[in-house]
Amino acid sequence: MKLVTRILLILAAGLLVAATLFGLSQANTISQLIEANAHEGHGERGAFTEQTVEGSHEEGEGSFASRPGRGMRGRPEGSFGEGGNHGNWEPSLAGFTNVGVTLVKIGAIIAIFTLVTSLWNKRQRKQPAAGGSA
Amino acid sequence: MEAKRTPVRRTTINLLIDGAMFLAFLVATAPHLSGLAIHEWLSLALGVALITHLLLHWNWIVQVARRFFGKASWTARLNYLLNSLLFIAFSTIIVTGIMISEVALPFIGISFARDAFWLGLHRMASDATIVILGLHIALHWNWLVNTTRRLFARSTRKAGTSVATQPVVAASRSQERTS
Repeated sequence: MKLVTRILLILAAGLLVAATLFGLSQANTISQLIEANAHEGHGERGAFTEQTVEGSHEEGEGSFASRPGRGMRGRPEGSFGEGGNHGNWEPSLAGFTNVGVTLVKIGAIIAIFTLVTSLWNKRQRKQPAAGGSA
Repeated sequence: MEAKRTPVRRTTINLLIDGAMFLAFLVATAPHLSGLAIHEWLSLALGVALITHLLLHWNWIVQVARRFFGKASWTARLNYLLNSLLFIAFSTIIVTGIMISEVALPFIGISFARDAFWLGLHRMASDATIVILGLHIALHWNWLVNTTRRLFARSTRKAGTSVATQPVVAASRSQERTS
């Protein structure tokens, strides 16, 4: 298969994912669930709970869009509002913490996987021996 | 001679590209370290690197896809499923990243209305990618360690031979002088 065809196939698969995501964005239940998840993780919990009780965050009093609040994760002065930007994104060395956290997460996953695999392999090796002695 | 070298060179290229992709991913997951501009452009470049990675492993993808419901081993199947998930997660990150872009897309004159949905999905996908990528690396850990070892062993052997030949050269030169 030609190189161009392969690249086009990969891009087509990516477009398929994109189309699915656009479809999801049109589905009310799922988009609300994801938006709620985004707000919950990065806004003030109390304020958001109040909004969910009173109605959507656009309609509720002190809406998420207009609330100055704490902004999103690690963003000192952000707001979720339409047209507003995501806050201060100046590069800083404090961001090394994020890299460290990601490395630790990946390292932990590798360690757990290796442990589980080695235990599994040990068990597999023991099983035929036990069968033979019986 | 050239035919013998090719697989080694291919493995080295794979290792270097994968290592560069991993480093780029680490930097991309920390936009506070790099700033938003680098975060966005680096992530787009990571998309291109992802396509290169897939092209380099195209034969494996096709072979396992053909044997998936047949003779493929459970490790290959697991690997294939995990890689498919990783592709979906990466594509999601790129698509949602494009939708919430503040630097890269406006730079070329395209901008979309900001939506919490895309931002939420972007976060969810990047969190999921860390987990899937961890599993992907764990599955390839032996290859990673062995290839790195072989690469270092070869480079130290080369260095060793060049150091070992130095006294010989020096000795032959002194012999020439004395003669």
